[in-house]
Amino acid sequence: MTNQLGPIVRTRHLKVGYAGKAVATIADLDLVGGVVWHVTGPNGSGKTALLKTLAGLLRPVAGTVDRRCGIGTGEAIYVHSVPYVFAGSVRRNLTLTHPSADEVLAVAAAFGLSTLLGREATTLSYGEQRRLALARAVVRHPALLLVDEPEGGLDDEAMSAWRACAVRAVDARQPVLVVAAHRPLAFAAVLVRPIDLSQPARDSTAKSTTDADRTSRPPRAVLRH
Amino acid sequence: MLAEVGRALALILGGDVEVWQIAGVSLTVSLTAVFGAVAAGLPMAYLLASSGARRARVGLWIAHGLAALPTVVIGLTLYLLLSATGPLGWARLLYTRTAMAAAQFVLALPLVVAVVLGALRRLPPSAHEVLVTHGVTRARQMGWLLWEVKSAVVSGTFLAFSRAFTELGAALIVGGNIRGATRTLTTYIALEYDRGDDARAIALGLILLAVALLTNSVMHVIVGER
Repeated sequence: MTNQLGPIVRTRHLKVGYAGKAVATIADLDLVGGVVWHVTGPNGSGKTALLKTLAGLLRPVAGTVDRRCGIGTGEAIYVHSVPYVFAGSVRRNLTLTHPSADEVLAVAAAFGLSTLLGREATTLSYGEQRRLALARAVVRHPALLLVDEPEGGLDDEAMSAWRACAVRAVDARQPVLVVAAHRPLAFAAVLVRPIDLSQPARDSTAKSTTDADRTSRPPRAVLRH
Repeated sequence: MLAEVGRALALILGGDVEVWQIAGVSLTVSLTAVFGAVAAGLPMAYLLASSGARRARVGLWIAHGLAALPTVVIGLTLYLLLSATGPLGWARLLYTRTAMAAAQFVLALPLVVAVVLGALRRLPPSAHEVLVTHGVTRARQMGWLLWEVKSAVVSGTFLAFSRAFTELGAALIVGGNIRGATRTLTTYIALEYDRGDDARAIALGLILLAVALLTNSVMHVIVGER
């Protein structure tokens, strides 16, 4: 559906950073669904800055970001690498934006949180808090989901839940999924397209990385099994 | 001395009407002021905290400065504003409980703002960012974040009440210590001290001390449980 309507986010000549100082120059992007966008690069290369800029939490240092989804409306959600959970129960955290009770139960089941719904969220382990942060984002049904280092601290069960969520998102082409991670993303039968910040961006007028047929450089997408 | 304390206790336990009426005025005025300070101070603290690091820092600096203002200076300023020749003289509020509550509001507000704003600034930015990206409305963002710093909200409220309830200078200047109207525990203690009625002054002082200790104990219980 997203593809039919075009990219959900389109960046041109984008530079991202903090307090007006650029930490990364981004090749032009046309983000569409159906793939996992993998933002990769070493520490300090601007992965988080890019995700926050796409989410509308940071202003671009230069260039433009055109979105087909609202900012601050729940349509573009950024999930932090160190999740913040609010005081109160897991259920309270999941009902941040008043989803239906059925949706809460479904997402809790998907992320292995069913037995923890009544638990004080701040007493959860780091891995459980990560699952909660992901579940809290997913239950909002965003059009664009930006996840920072999602696989750190997850146990096998949580990892499976997260990957299943990602696969569902790719299959449904909604939400458009952008993931920042140091390590390769090991998704089965899912197209992963890298946005590599370890290399200086080429000419910022380079064509979109979203469509291998239209790109002037070799496709870097990796189909992992 | 012991005899005076004994007489003071007899006044309190004997249900001296005037003593308890004055305590009631003190409570009413201070609670009104603190309720207003909390109602205005919480949104103010939230707006300052969410307006950027620099504004929040300046806001905190100003709040700390105002919290340290001498009460007589606040009383004098309000007196000049409310006196018959002052810009707000038309309101005829001088020597009323409303004027006293206004003075105590000015005392209490910066304390509420300073304590709550300080706590909000210590929250990680991710707390606010989660609310923003999930599409939570501004009003509800404030509710969620204030709940995160509820210990500070409780502390700020009780500290503000303590400052308002125990102050003397502003109440004396804008209230006038009028019997049956604007006479409070602190202004009456000052009066009885001048008159030399030590027992009555001690009785009022004991009530003042008891309320101050009680509110602080309640605050510690509430905050300590979180």
